[in-house]
Amino acid sequence: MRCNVCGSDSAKIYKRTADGREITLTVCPACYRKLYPDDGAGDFFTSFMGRAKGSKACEGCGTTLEEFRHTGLVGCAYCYTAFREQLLPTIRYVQGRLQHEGKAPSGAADENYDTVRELVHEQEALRSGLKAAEREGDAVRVKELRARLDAVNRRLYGGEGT
Amino acid sequence: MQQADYESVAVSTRIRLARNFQDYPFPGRLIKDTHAQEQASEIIRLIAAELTSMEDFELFEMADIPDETAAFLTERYLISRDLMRHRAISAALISLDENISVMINEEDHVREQYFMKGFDLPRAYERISGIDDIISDSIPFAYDKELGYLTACPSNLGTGLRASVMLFLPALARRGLMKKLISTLTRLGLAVRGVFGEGSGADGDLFQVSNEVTLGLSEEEVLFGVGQAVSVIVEAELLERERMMAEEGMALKDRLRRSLGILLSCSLLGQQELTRRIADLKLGVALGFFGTEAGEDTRLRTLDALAVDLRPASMDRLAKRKLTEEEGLVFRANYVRKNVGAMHLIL
Repeated sequence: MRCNVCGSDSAKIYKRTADGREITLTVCPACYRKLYPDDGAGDFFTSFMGRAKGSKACEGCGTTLEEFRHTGLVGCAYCYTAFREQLLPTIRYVQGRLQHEGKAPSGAADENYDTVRELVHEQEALRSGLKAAEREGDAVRVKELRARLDAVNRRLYGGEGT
Repeated sequence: MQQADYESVAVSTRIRLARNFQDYPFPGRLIKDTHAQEQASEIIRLIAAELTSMEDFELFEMADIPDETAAFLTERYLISRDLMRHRAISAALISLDENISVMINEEDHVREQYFMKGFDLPRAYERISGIDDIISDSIPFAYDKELGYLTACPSNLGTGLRASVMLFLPALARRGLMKKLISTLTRLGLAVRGVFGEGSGADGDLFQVSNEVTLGLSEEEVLFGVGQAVSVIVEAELLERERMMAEEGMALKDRLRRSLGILLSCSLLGQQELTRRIADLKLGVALGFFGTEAGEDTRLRTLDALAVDLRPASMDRLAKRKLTEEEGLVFRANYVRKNVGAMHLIL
């Protein structure tokens, strides 16, 4: 039987389902493998990472790249070191960026900052300060605290907030 | 915009942080390990020791709790459906006020969540970040200077932060505008899902809006971005409600009042119909059709609570026994008649 792709005489009949309907292909095994390299696996990550090269496993947990391609999940923290080079294109595609910004666990970064927490704490302090100043009738202090509270709220919510 | 307007659209806020420990396999791998049970117990014990010393938490080990309890916690959004996937090794620590839920060995070792009524992303984040610090002070989290907090799925790397706001969008949904909204939000890096997360459908015109990107944006930037998007959606919903009123007028009022009539007089009531009718009542309250002495906010929260309390597992708790399907229809109808009746919604 003639292969519809390369014209060789070793074609077979393959049946597949695409978009819920069954299709019949008359192609040789080699062309079939080229057309559907991950037949059955149906995984999204293959298109980013290509076929597995060897079967290198993470020393931390034994997960292989092949397994990651099937599940989309790494096995442990060390996988990110073991497969860093291969994982970065996927990470870039999913996230768009490759440099973390924001909170770090204490001791992990030179500067352990958590801006939102600081701003919310500042907001709470300013609110109670404002209440006290209003009670005492200190108009100058009220004006100053309101302006500072508005500035914090703008950073947190983009508006005046409450 | 008035606070009350926001409250009638932005129902609740949820912040989730995904974390893992450096020296244990992640849960998907851990479950295959020969020492899975011991390692999982160790993780659960370490976290429980930290949290129970600080606040009032209840520990639920998934392997030990009955299916009904698991269904009850899922219905109340306190645990995810995925937590049951690794039931042999998973657990949840839930604060008695039900504002904090720390899921252990779901997709990641730790999923810390804070829930609050209304819309205040920074405040919800501040609360859960405090819990995060307590856990990380005693057990170091897996962290990389470039990739941030390391997670089982690359889609959670970086901050591990998912900021979600649950929105009640009856006007946008019923006027066929959700598809357009979802495609706009997707382009802005935001996701719109049903109330039970990924893959779940919209239930009672409720939708969750959350960030997709977790790497390369600080917590402040993510919360600000989601907050801004929510503000725009709230305004769009309120505008559509006004258009609905202008275009449909009496016919709309009639539909919503009929739902009240049914809830006050039915003898059998299914879950789906309840959800739909409650959504009608909430819309009616928001549009000012049903007045009471209680504030609008209180009425909306009472109705939201009713919809959650009458989901199957929660209803069995109210009935104090497992109800058959037929008994459930009768119980739900009786409960709703009594409770909606007690709200004294004035026509």
